[in-house]
Amino acid sequence: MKDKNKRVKFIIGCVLTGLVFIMMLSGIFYTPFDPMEMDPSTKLMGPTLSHIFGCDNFGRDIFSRVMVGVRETMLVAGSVVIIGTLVGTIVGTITGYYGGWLDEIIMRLNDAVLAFPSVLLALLIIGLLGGGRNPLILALGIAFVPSFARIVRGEVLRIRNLDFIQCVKLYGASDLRIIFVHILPNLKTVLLSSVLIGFNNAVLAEAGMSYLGMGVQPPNPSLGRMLSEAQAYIFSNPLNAIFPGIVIVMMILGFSLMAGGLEK
Amino acid sequence: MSMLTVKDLCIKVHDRKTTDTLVYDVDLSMDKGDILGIVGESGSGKTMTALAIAGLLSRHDMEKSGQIIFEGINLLEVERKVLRKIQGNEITMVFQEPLNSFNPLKKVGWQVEEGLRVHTVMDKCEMKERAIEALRDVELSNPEAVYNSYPHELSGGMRQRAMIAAAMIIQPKLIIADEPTTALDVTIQAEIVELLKRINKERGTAILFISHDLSLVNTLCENVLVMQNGLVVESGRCENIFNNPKEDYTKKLISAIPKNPFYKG
Repeated sequence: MKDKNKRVKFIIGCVLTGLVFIMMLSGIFYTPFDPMEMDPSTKLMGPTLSHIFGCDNFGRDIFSRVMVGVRETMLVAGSVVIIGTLVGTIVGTITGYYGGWLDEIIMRLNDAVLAFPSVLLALLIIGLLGGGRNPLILALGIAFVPSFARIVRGEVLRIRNLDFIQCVKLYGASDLRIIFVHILPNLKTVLLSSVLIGFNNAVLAEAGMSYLGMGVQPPNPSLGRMLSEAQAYIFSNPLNAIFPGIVIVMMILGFSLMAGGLEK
Repeated sequence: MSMLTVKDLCIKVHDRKTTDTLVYDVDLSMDKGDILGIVGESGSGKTMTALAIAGLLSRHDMEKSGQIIFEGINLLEVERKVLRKIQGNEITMVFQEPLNSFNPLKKVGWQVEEGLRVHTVMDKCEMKERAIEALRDVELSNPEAVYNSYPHELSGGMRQRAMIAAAMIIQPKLIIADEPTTALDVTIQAEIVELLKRINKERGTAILFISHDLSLVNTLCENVLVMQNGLVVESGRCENIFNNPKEDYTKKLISAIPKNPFYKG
């Protein structure tokens, strides 16, 4: 019964993310309209057969912009998660495996970063480096490291004390061998679901930062950017904000359901 | 000179402000082919002593003093590199909980080979041959199947056998068996003890057998060490201690043995 629930969850999650992915991938080769082209005659138009999501305040086709914007959002979120996971795994493994004062120092630093609101931290870094996509990726990446480091450290601590690690140690395996061959592969179940959840948070963070005007710069579309542009017309043309919002929800729900389905 | 001599081994843990002594002045010596049992209740320092001999106590808040001399080398003072060579080549260990002793993600055969992989350069076929031979040697009925299965697919007894195979594959001089039978049921316990006995006889491997089961120790060991609260209470030949215990604690331990088929005394 429980297993079946999880499978259903996982499948629904796959379908939702699959849809978003199809939209994103086809956006690379084909969009129904040019996502940058402005057309005064279709300004703030509601959904029609040719413009299925309607048009925004510059008369640009929202569906086309969403297709391209998803790509931008995914790119940022993906890179952020990759940075967070890589650095977090390195930090977590070193601190968890070796322990001692190094662990204390790094984890206290980690706590300090963790205690700082991530959006504020990202704002600070963007303030120093300037806006745009790459500083945004860097900023969010740094903000995402601590939570991954924590998760990895906890797991490494647990696995390190299992008998089989002691066994391998006794065979005379080096620390590097123990870490890479015996500990890291055992992290993958934990990492997989936290990567999926982290990806969600990254999507939201990207949307939030772009909404604040710190991320992807106009006229390039991203989902957060589109929300922020639609905000001015939220009462007259709510659909402008609703469609990109739905895509964000689909993405996040999809990944959450997948993560939920994968959990033990 | 004996193969392993432990002299005045003390293990202390510094926990914040107080210092706890876990093991006081343990002395023991073992020759090639000896089987030494260490018995005692939980928390008596049996496992600590064993881990210290194996060189696995590396916690930074722990202080070890005394001497552990293995074939003329003091394991407490030697560099890590040398220690690593001795570990695995000369000393291996079988743990209590056979489920945790294997990496859940790798096949059993791969893990049995691990000792060879770390210490020698050997091609895959040869390694597989050696591993299967080792698995056959511990009386697993279908070594090839075991070689290709994952740890969770084996029963506890089979896992413990595979563990012994993994420990034996590098032909060590000393096996430390830390309560290898505690997690198993009685019939399997007897089989494992028989297996250890046979290995000892055929290969001349010394066995340090740690247990709180006195009857098992009695069937397996020649010499025995009784520990309580980190102290060696009594030591000597097995028959002597079992037939005519001197210390109160030993008497109590012996009287606590339930009458079971393995109890000879």
